[in-house]
Amino acid sequence: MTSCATTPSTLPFSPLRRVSPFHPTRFLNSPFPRPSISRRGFSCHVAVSSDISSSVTSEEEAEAAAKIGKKVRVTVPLKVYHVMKIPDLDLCGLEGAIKQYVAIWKGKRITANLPFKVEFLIPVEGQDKPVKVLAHLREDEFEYVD
Amino acid sequence: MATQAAFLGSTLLSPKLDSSLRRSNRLKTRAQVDPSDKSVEIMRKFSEQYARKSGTYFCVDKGVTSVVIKGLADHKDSLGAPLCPCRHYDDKAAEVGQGFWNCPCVPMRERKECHCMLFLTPDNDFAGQEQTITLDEIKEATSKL
Repeated sequence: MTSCATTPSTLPFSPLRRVSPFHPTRFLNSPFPRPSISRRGFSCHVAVSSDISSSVTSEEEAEAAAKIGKKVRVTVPLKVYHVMKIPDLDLCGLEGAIKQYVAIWKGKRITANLPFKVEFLIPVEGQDKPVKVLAHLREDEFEYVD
Repeated sequence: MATQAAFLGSTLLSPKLDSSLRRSNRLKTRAQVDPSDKSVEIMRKFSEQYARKSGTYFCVDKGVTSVVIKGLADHKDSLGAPLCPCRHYDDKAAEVGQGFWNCPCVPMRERKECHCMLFLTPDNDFAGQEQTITLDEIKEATSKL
């Protein structure tokens, strides 16, 4: 507690009273309604560790699992460059099957923005077997094929 | 478990009470530590090599390239893998384990889309002519931060 006034006084704000202007007790003699006692201060929020809802519900997992194996067709022009045998490949119009939903991994939510891993089998000239291509797609880049 | 420490501090209490409160409220926060030189060098070499391999170029503003390389090095040091430094994650360890955002990330590998602007295709307005960057350039650009 800050040291109090040396001389008693009946006036609310006697200049002789050495009370901190921020001390709540200054309001005790005040004719005005007493404000809620709150210390002048600061609040600081620090995230010590974050694990904010990264766990996935079983519902979401089941929903994701249901999509695996479904046949899809790409509906937007989509160039991929990671296939060795086909350097510049446009997937538009090609059909494939959903292999994996990568936004859920070991029960945790992943921030992948291309969560659908789709497998395409693309025939190539001069080769008997079609080339297997795995590409990641967004939900709005393909449609389900019956 | 989500924990957020929120504390109310006051600088205007009596010295005795003030110091004991301060002692109990003091929260150790980890300061931003620079990544090791070794990691920066590794990520610099990786960036140059991957730019060459993918036919992409660094940004005209090498400061952008430098900050991203430093961010990659930082994640490599703290998480064990160079997670994309330009994104926010809920669970970094899970992201590293799954690997979508491990540089080079999936959008970059498949579509040559690097939103960090580290690897830019030649048709990009901000793409420069270079596929190289020196350690000095990185240090100079990031020292002002």
